[in-house]
Amino acid sequence: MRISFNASDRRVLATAILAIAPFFALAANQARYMPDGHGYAALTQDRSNDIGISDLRATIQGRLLRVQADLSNTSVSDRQVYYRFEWLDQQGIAVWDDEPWKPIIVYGLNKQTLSVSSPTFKATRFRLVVQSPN
Amino acid sequence: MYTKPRFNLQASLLVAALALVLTGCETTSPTTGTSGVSYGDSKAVETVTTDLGSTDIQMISEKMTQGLIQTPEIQTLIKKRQLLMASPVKNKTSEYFDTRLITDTVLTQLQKNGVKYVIEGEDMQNQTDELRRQNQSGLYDKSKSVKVGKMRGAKYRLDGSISSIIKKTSDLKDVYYKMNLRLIEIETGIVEWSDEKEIRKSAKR
Repeated sequence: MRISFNASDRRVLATAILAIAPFFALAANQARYMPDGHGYAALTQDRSNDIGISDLRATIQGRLLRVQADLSNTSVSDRQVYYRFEWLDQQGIAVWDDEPWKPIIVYGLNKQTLSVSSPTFKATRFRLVVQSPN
Repeated sequence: MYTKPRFNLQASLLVAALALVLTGCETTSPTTGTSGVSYGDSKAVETVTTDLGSTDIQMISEKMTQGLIQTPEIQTLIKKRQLLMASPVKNKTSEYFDTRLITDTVLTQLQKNGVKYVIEGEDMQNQTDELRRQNQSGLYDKSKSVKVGKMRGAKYRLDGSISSIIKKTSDLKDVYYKMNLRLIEIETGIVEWSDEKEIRKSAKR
């Protein structure tokens, strides 16, 4: 069966795409990922894109996973961001309860380093989640 | 005469789009009641007032646990199955709150890592009451009752305090909290570890 698109069909097609576009836009929020050997950071932020994760380092010391992440702010104004870590085992299964979201200020045109140690010996991987709302 | 049905693209696309939109809007809510009560995220950042709140308690407990678990004393304590206890944290702020919220969370998180701790304070009364009930009330089979004099003392204890400085102007309130926690070897009184957590909260009035 051959489907032909006349002018009326194209108008309907455009209307249908516009109707469902917001759903796809919601699914694809502005998340960026930065990998590291032991895990990765996921950043969700507003459209300004002022906040970035400029570096991510992780190592195991004394059976504990230590992570450092540099958050950078490219705007001139200070920004409040929220973050938390998820602690996982080698298979990616969570080995610790949900952490509280923590606020942190990243000053304008500056970097702020998050430096944490895993709260459990079972953690071998991590996921850092950073939210940068308006 | 049989007529082959014509493929109607307009109708098909509209039906597909409508179905997708309606699927997205469909909700099935297993709730009851119309009082406007709702559940929130217990891990969300709480900014209702500048008073010490859930986020502050959670951040303090988390930092103290992460600090303690790194210390050689705690790691040895886990290996040798020695015991820890927490003395009541002194509340030196002008607000009332139960400081056991902090020490209980720290102890619970340490226990998940293998730390054994003993009870004290309010819990001790329940413990001694139960020991007496089993041994002195005459109600229990002595051969199967727990024995008095077998409780074990802790090698280390946690102690600390929380203080605040509050500054107010006509249009601004600024509160600074500082929590200090120490790990003390009970026999010697030596402070083996200590850490602090600072929190600043401001609100326009």
